[in-house]
Amino acid sequence: MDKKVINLIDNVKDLMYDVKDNEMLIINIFNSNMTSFAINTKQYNNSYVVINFAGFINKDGNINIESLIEGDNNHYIINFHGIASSCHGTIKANVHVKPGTKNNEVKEDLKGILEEGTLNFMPILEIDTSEVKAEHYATIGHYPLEELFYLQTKGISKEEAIKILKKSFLFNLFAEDFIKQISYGKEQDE
Amino acid sequence: MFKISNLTAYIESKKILDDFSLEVNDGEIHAIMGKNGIGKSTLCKIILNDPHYEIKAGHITYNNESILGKPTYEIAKAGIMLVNQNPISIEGVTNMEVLRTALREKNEENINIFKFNKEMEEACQKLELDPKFIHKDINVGASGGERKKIELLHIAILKPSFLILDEIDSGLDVDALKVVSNFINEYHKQTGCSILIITHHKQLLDYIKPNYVHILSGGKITKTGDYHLAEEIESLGFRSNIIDEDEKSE
Repeated sequence: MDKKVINLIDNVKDLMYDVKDNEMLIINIFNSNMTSFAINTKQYNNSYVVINFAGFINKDGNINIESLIEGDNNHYIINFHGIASSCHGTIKANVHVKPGTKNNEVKEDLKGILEEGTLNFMPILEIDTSEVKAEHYATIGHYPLEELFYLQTKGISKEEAIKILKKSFLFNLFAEDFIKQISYGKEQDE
Repeated sequence: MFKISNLTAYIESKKILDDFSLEVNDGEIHAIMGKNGIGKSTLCKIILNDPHYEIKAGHITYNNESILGKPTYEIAKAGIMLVNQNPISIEGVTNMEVLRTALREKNEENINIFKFNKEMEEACQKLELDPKFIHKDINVGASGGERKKIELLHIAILKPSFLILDEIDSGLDVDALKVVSNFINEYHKQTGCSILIITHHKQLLDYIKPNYVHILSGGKITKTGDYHLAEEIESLGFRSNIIDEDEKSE
């Protein structure tokens, strides 16, 4: 399988990919200031797509992540981790698996932390075949109180503890080599 | 000196501590024993101002300053550190990151990385803990025993003056218990810190000898003695008249 890794940091524009047969496509996106934009992927046969997407939603907007699966034996995974503050954001992740296709596996996992404003997740599965394994998850919450308390018992202020948890939430989708390219949080490490 | 005076605390509408008082002088080791669910772990969390609990009356002071109601991190910065019986794991946050941040906040200056790394490695060696945990996410993939040792690693670096050890012996095998106890004894000897031990078992107190042993029952200390009180509990159990007589006399 041919492997292609696309790493994108900030100012990410709309993306569209036709994934070839026997191709593995991994898209890592970190956006420190998300606005409205779209990702579209189309898969045919024997392909593998993983989209790891994390960042801050600071402005009102809509993010659309669309996937179309037209053939057999494909994998599609979208992992989204977003932190929303002072805005109204909608994240729609839609996977359409066409009729007559078989042995496809799709998973949508959307997680959000809400600081202020509203966050609306729409994990949609349009499945037109019975021969598919599909799952979707959506979680929106606040910073875990137990983790905040633990960090504070080490003498870390609430403000710094939130910074630490923020970074871990955003970065834990990514491999170390991609994280090194991200400037967010670097001043904390120095 | 660490002092709790007439503390009454609730979780939701349930009274957990009822006019509870305790004094720990500098350098002393105190142990609190009691039945399951009697409020021993709750007491530890209340000292660190866990927001789940409501204080209705009383005072907590450390070195003559009130710490009751202070933010948790300020209590920790004052030198009080809690080692929880089940330390949580936090994905994506390494021990290194937490300790560096905590030290930076405590000392309000940049840390000496060389000295910091050396101290970490030495502490790992003493604790017989794999140094790879320094760079790993907090307690992720660590066994019960390793979690306790990681917490002690935090003690070695942050150097608190008052340790609260909440059932640090739970989940430890005999060898690990010896390592952990030796570490705590050595730390106590070197720093002269005070220690509050919460335990169900005398075995830990065989290794870390307390000055005082207290029995917690009905939200308050009902009996205080020396190490022999722990022996009595071990042989007679909490259902013995050690507690009942005190309860009757209330």
